[in-house]
Amino acid sequence: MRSLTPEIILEVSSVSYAFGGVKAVDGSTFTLQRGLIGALIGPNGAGKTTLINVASGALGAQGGRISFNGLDITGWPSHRVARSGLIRTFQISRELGGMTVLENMLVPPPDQAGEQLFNAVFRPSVGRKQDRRLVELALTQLENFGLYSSRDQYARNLSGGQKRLLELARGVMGEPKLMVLDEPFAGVNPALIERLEEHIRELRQGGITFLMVEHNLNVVERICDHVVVMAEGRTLATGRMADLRRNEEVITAYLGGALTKRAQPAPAGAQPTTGGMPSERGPAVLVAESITAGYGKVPVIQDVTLQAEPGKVVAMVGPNGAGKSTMLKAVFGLLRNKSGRVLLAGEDIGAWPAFRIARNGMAYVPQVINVFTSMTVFENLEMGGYTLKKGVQARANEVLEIFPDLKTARSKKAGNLSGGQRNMLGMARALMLEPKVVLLDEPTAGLSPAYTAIVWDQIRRVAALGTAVVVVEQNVDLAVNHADWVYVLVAGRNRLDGKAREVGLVDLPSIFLGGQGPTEPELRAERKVNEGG
Amino acid sequence: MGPIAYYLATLVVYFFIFAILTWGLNIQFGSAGILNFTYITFFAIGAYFTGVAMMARPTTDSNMRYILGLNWPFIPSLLLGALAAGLLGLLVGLVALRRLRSDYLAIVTVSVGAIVYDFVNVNTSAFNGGDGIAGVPYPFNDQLNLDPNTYIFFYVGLTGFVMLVLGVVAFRLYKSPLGRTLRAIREDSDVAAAFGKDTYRFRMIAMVIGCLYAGIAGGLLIGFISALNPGGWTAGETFIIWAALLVGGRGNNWGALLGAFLVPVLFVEATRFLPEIPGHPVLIAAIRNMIVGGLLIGVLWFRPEGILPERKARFPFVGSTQPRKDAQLDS
Amino acid sequence: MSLLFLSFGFGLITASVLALAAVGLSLQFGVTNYINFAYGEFLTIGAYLAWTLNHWLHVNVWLSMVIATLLTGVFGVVTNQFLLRPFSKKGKPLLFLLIVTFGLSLFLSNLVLAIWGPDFVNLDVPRQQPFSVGPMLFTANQLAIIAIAVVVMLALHLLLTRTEIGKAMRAMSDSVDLAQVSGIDTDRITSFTWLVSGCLAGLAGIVLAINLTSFQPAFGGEFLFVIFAAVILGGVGSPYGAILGALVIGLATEMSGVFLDSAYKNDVAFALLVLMLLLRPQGLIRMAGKAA
Repeated sequence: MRSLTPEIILEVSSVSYAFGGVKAVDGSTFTLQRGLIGALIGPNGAGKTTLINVASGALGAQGGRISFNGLDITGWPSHRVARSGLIRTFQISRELGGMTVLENMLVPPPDQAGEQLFNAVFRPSVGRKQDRRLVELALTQLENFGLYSSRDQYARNLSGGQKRLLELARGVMGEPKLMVLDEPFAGVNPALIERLEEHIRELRQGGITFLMVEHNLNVVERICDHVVVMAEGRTLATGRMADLRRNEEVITAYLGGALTKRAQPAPAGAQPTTGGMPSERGPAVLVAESITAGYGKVPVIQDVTLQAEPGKVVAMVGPNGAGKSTMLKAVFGLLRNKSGRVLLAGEDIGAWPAFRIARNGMAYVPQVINVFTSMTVFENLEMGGYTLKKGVQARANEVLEIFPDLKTARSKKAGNLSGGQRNMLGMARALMLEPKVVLLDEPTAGLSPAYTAIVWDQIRRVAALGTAVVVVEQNVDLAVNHADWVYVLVAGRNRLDGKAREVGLVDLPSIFLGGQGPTEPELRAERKVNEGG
Repeated sequence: MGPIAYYLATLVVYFFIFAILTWGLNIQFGSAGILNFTYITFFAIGAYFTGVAMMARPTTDSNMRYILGLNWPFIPSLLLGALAAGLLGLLVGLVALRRLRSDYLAIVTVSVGAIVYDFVNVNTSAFNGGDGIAGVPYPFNDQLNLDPNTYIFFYVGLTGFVMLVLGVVAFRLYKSPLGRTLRAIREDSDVAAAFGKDTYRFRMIAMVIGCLYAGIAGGLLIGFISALNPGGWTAGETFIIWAALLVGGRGNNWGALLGAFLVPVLFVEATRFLPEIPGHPVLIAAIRNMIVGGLLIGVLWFRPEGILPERKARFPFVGSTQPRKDAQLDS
Repeated sequence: MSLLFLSFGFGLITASVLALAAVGLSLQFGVTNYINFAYGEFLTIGAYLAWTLNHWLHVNVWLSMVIATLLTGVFGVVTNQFLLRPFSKKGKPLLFLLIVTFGLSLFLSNLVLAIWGPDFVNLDVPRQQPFSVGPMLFTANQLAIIAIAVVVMLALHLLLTRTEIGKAMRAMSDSVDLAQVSGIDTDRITSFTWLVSGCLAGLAGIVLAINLTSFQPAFGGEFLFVIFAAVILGGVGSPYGAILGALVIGLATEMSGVFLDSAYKNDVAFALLVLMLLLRPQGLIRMAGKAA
């Protein structure tokens, strides 16, 4: 039972934070009521993780105000925020590897008398007495979380899933009023997802408020009472997940433009990916088969298949956390523990190191660090052509012809370029060795619509040179309109693929945002209401 | 009372002193992950201050110049020496511990070591410069009046007592929740901070305590050999303590004790009897130091956890109140 | 006033020596992302190699210096290839690499002691009378030191901005991962960096030896923290910052002699290091950023 005027536990008002010149959080504002399970969702680069880093004191706010439990905690260092009852977990499990699971559990409890130097040296019984209580408590928690039998293992030896459980269990030991979870379900298998959901619900019953950054929107719909949608550093909308699914702004933020208008049953052309080659595709230059890969022990993608033909643009789309970027990295040999087969022009390159792949016909442009910031545009291109014996300069000038925007900035430091120009430069650098295949990781992320169009123009132009281009694209609309073939990845697996136009006719909102998705009449009705009001 | 017994007693005193040093470094590095590359400097500061506190004020016709000259008894002098070392540790911590990366502290310690060494060596009015101080009275011997052959056994007892006390403190610290928090900071200081631990304060505690240990060890040494000059605490000595800790087992106080026996006592003392090469007086010492340097690297390659690795924490005092087992999934 | 100019002149000499050393340390840090605590011994080795070539093998003293510089560079490559690279390939934590270079510094300083003994030696360069250059006094050797430093800095600038391999070093300093996906063989560039770093250390050791007129096995190690001060002042990992840091430290230490007892020269460098760490850690932002 909630009271009629629910109390607010967390209030974020116009908080902003910028890395260098890039505004990651830009005036985000929202509140969270005590006793709820809140979610912070939004497309990649929306600033969610940055926001919780600011809220928990890991980063100092550069503007705005954060109040927690009636206290103004803006600018407090993390340890002080934590002691006031706001405990956060980490996106990648940060177990204290050289300590046992049980010891991990004993670190968080606040105000431990045994931590005082005097007690530690002169009155060890104080610490023992306190530990007797804490160990009992910790063991009970470990039982709940199914980690009791692993209590004396070093935490580094736990499985990926167990580490996620420990992350949550350990957080509880910090006696939080509010727990901020950073992607608690990332890389977690379905059985464990259920289990974690159950734990979170139980803990809420026990009086803990939650705020989680989460990409799995079905989970969010199941357990979160209040959802805050962020895009481009701001709060876009708040409410319940079921309602937000129909919110056009939200759908646009996730998928891009006009797709919402044509939700229809899947036509025959787009089909579940089988790995077989549909007859309308030409001979492939890149074939990646049954790739399973991830970071550490958790596989992010499973059995994913992809192929690309010369002169064609292949796009990979899918909800956040679907494993699109991971697939690119795996194809380019940047992930060690992968299985599956990667063929480049018929040659198995699965075991090659990245630099060898780069020298033999494939190029990769990462999403975040894609240029050498302290070097000029021209020098960046030279680095792209590093293995050319001669003619580097000539080739660089050739490439600059393809990118008129960069031509005028050739002696500018890459660190001073705009985000869009950087993405262009990344692409230009990748072209230096005249690769057969170019992999682009979200080349339009964070760009203005106008520049996005320019970038896609460039991508088409690159393909027109006979290159096979694989693009990870957040904006489904763009992918459908500009690519030749589209793969849809969901939760680390192929969901479907087909000709771009045909994939565009599929009910993608429901794939992306979960649930049934709005139907055409519903949307029309909603628009009328909006326009009327 | 033969020379062998006298020599063995000397070795025991050295062992006790090195045990204290290695425990102190273990508190800093083994528990808190602090890289102190000039540990011996804190030892020297402790020794000098203990010495000059015990000595009488230098007379004008004396050929030594030094500060203080308080004519204090041993115990307060030792405490003063420890405090001086701890204070220097505090200052170093103030400069370097706020930064997270371990390189910063390592750079600052190396620089502090060089500066202090330079200062003591050049500035004759502090501790008599390069000649060093000599003639520090034997602790308690103004009351005991023992002859050197008997006094040494008294000193074995004295250092043994101090070592036992500091050993108990080291073991208690390690097992205490304070030690646990230090290890958590060593493993991942972001996580520790996210659970409310003031990582700067905790690391500072480890830094200062480790320096107090070094200061006390220094005071015990100067009470024993009654003289010290800069040649007695060159940078090379720091490596011996590091080698002792890494060989014995960082994060394990028994390992530190074993290392203190194996490296500074057994290895360094055993090589003392190698014949000197004519015309090359420093060759043996140089080779010895090369081996110590090689040992540091070799241990990290072949057995980075040391002979006695850090042990898992156990909680034997927690009586199980009920049978426990993991909760099962419903599905 | 004339004393001030005089010490400014000495400051330029010290800054020249320091610049050679600091740039070498900084370059290697930028590419490999850990500090070499044995760097001081690299200086020592350079000076002793030059002395040995000249005294034992009777090579012309100037030629000895050139060969010794190159040999120290080769020594840097060997150290990386057989000691540091294996450690970093094994995925050992950063802490280990620092302790390894620390252990190496003891090993090397005693190796030098074992081979060459503890006595002071000096390079057989002609002794000269100082002559005045404007209000400052220099010997021809000292002018040569300044000239060498200027020429080497210019050469380095050309290396870093005009050659593929130098640009690749800068690229690795920016991002090792991106360098790899660009097709740069990062192992090879790392080796080359150690060669350059070692050569600079060797050369710095030689000119330091000339400037001090005589040297002994500990002299490079004793100079290490002055190098640290210059590197940190300029921002760790930035070679151009290191030059600036060397200039500031060199001038500050020598010119402090006007107001302070010259025995406290090094303390001035130390004070600047501490001030920098306390007040202007921005110079170190890059280092913090690379920690991840």
